[in-house]
Amino acid sequence: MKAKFLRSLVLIMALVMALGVGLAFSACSTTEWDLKISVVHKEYGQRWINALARKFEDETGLVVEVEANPNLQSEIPNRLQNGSDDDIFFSHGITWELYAAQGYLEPLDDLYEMEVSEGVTFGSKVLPQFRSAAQFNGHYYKVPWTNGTGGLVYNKKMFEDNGWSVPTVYSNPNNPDCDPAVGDVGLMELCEKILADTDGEVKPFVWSSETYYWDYVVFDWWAQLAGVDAIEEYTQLGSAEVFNPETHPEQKEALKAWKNLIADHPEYSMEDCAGKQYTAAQMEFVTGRAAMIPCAQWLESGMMGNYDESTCVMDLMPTPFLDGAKTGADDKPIRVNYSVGSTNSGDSILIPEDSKHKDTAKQFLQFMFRDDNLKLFTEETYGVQLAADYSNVTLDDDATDFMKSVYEINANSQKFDLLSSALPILQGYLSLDWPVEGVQHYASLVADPSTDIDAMYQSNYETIAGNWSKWFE
Amino acid sequence: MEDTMIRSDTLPAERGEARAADAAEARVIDAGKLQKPRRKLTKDWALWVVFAVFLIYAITLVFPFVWMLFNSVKSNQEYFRNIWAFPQSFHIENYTNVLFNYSVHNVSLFGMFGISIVITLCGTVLSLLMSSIAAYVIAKYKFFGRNALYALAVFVMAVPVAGTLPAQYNIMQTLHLTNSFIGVLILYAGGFGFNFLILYGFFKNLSWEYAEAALIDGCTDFGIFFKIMLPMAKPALIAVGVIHAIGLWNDYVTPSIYLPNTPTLAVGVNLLLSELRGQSAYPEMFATMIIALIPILVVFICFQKTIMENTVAGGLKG
Amino acid sequence: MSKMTESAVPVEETAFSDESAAAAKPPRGHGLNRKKQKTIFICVMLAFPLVQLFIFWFLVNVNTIIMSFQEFDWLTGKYIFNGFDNFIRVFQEIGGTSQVTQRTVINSVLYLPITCFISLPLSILFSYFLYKKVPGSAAFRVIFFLPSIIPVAVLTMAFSFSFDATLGFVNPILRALGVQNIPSWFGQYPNNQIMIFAYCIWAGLGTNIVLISGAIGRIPIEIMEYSKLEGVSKTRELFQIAIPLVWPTITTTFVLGCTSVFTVMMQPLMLTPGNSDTLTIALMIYNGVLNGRNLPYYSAFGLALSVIGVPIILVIKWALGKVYADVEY
Repeated sequence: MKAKFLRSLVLIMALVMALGVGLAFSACSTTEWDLKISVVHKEYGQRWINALARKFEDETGLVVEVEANPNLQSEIPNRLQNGSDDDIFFSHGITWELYAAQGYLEPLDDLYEMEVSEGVTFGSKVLPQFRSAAQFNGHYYKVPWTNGTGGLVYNKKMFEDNGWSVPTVYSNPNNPDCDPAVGDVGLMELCEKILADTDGEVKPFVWSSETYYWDYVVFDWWAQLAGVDAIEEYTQLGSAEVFNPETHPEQKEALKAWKNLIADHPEYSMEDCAGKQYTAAQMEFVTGRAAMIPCAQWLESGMMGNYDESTCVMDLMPTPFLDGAKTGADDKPIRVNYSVGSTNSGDSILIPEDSKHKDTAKQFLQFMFRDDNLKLFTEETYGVQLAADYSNVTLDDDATDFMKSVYEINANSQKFDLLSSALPILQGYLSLDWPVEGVQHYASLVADPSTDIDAMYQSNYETIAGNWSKWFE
Repeated sequence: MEDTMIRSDTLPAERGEARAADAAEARVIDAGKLQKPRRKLTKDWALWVVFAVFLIYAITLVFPFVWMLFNSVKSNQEYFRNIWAFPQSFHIENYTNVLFNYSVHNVSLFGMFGISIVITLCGTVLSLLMSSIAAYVIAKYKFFGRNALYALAVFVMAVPVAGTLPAQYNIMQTLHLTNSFIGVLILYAGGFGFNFLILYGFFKNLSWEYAEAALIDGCTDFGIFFKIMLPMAKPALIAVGVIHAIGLWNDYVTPSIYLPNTPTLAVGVNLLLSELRGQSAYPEMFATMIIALIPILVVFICFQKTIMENTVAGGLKG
Repeated sequence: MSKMTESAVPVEETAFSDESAAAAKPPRGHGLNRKKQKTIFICVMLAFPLVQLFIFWFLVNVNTIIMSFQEFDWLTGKYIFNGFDNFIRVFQEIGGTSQVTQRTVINSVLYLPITCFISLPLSILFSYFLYKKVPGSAAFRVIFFLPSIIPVAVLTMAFSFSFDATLGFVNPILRALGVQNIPSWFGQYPNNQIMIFAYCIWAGLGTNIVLISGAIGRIPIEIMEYSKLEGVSKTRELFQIAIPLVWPTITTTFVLGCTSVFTVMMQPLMLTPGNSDTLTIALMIYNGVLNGRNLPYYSAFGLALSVIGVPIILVIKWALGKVYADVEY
């Protein structure tokens, strides 16, 4: 009886509280805004958009409403189709071409012609590689969002404390002590040295079951061997020949190099990395149990405050060169770097067709690609770069080593991506990162290092060639 | 061990009678015991084995809860250093920050709590009502199409519903139900889902004799349902109700889309968790989750007795 | 109980004023009125649920159904009719042209025996012993329900961390017990799928225990007292009294377990994110929708499998219904 009474009392109190809230809330009105920006709220945080929005408000006197919503990704199709009050969407991987084709996106041709600063158009600020991928049916429908940077992140403090040098090549058997005075330092030799110097206590690598992080290293190797132009040709999908492992063996060779390093040397990686959670891998790295982790530009911002600088200072190394990397005019291997996140359709900034403030939206984007705001974005995201030309942007001296490395790699490497609007890609029949279906092979290679990679690539090629005419009809 | 259960809603006099009956019964059992002693040992032995199994299983279930609890007061660095270590310092601010400083659209955590309660209660009651109506009618009345409706309910449960948001939103827009409590409650008032299937099974077991008796007395079908069958279904309704309420309490997709300005607790918690996950701030995430699940735990503890014990008398004798 | 509340038809009032007469022979016109009353009752009661179902399920999903017969034409920017092409592709992929799809369906179907032949019997056993008041039952009931309350994200995280090769405690315990070759728990197929099944069983008992306990709780005390008096062993009491009496509830939870083939999604998503070996039907559709490419294919995928699966489930339900006769109490 008493329990029942207490229960009823609690219920009544809660209802009253709820009503009170409801009434209080309905009393206050929503402010009218001049621009609404909705951001898929993931690893980059929301400091950057809030900073940009407030700065824009200061300069223009307009009111900007920001929605940073982690669930936005799945809501964008609904909002585009059924209408909403959003003016700009910052979206991760979305098949924007689908919405452009149905007329849900505002064409941005005029935006690309707008001047960002004296004599510099918005279009020229956007990196060329992304510019071509922002068009559909001859019109611009999106602005590329980030120019991702990935590779092997290493513990700079651990390296310095132990006197290890950052490797510049995949392997240099003539330099087993990894002495930069002797010659190039090889990654494989470094792994042996790490194990020897720490009695096996510290492992060279830690990674996780989210194995696509290895793509950021392996694709760099692919581009080193094939050259950035060949990869661009690959994304054009001129014919099934681009998948032929006999004429285009570079991705296969890159994967073999990975297998040679990781699958064939389980002692180089922490135990059972293929079964590890991503969080656990991060933990092992920042607490100093592993020296390197394949990752990308968001690692530092994501790990901020979770580790002690006495155990870890992180830095990003340019991917060591494979034997056979293409060389430039100076006979030195050409630096390349994969734009993380730019597979298939990439991440996108979109303006919905039914936006009520299109001009203001375009004005904001034009504002965002100004040099000082490029810098603001990168600072507030701890190193992430917009898909823009950063040649007039310099980082402050108090930027972290990690941020500086990201910047340096982007500035001095030929960037490439796997963006494509070819029909089989749009229809989901084919994935460019790992044809045919986008399934990575890392875990299966670790489980069975004797897998015949050549046969696998040959079989994939035959499947693709067999389906080619059907896909393009 | 309690061998007989005294009904909780019986009068003292009846209880006295029951006790006398128990004593008589006990004497009978005692007599029986003399002849078959082995049974009592077997009975005890089996129960203790089961107890051991239950204990082990319970420990494995409690461990994530305890783990989450003591990790929720660590600092981020402590957590990253060792996820299994006992906290060395207690960062209560992990809790106070969420409780007192967090707000979504100017609605504080307590406000979200209130909104959640209203939605969960009303949504559960509506859903239970619709489901029990549908389940009762289809289970107990023979009419053309009853099997088809049951098949339809199974179909509704089985079809994976990804990708229907635009269509659903479109309909809600046309009906002017977006951004309103009524809209969400109508969405929640489905009669042919999980609740329907469970209550159907339950009503199938329910004797029609109660209805016969009432029909003879001149009761209408409506009366039978509301005055006899529903009360008899109390344990099932509460069981299903608690499960459904927990589902509604944790549902964030529907409220985040159709009640964008009045966030429920689940919506607020989900937003906060995503933000914290981006920073890998796990201790604060755990603190948030604990705050969100305490109310459910309390409700369940209050109701578990009602669900799982026999507190409803067999009605035919009375 | 004998009080009349609402009376739809006045004739009945006079017809039943004399109880003995009613018992002796039904008055003229009784049959028709009863039937009419029943029909009105059924229609009124089912009206709102059916309308709600029609608007918020059928109309919402009809678009998906139509879309499964379409494909997107990139030239015109519209969805055009393409007959059964999507369905043909679905069956081709399951047949073997896509290893991922094939494995997805196999994984999903395997959830049926896991849920119905392992989880469910365990739940019945546990519910029965909770009913028999094993020491500590009240605490156990709450603890067993904990997994249904604790967010899936935490449970899966705790579960994964426990089995981590370097951070977890399971491997050190096994090594201390002398186990030599500890497998990679989540590193490869089929280990990771088996671990997901193990997780589902471990975390999935709670809801079923609540439901079955609710059903067992309704069994009249007299029957249980009788069985005690007669010295019925626990096994007999469970298998020959309790289970048959709550059979419809067990059938329903069995049917729900069957539908889990189509709806399991969160567990593989959280335990093995990004892994294409442990996909389920629902997860594959979810990923496809998130991606946005080739929505009609995923609509066809879900529809085709449901259209095949649901009749099978109904046959199972029918067959189960024949096992024990319906008992009412």
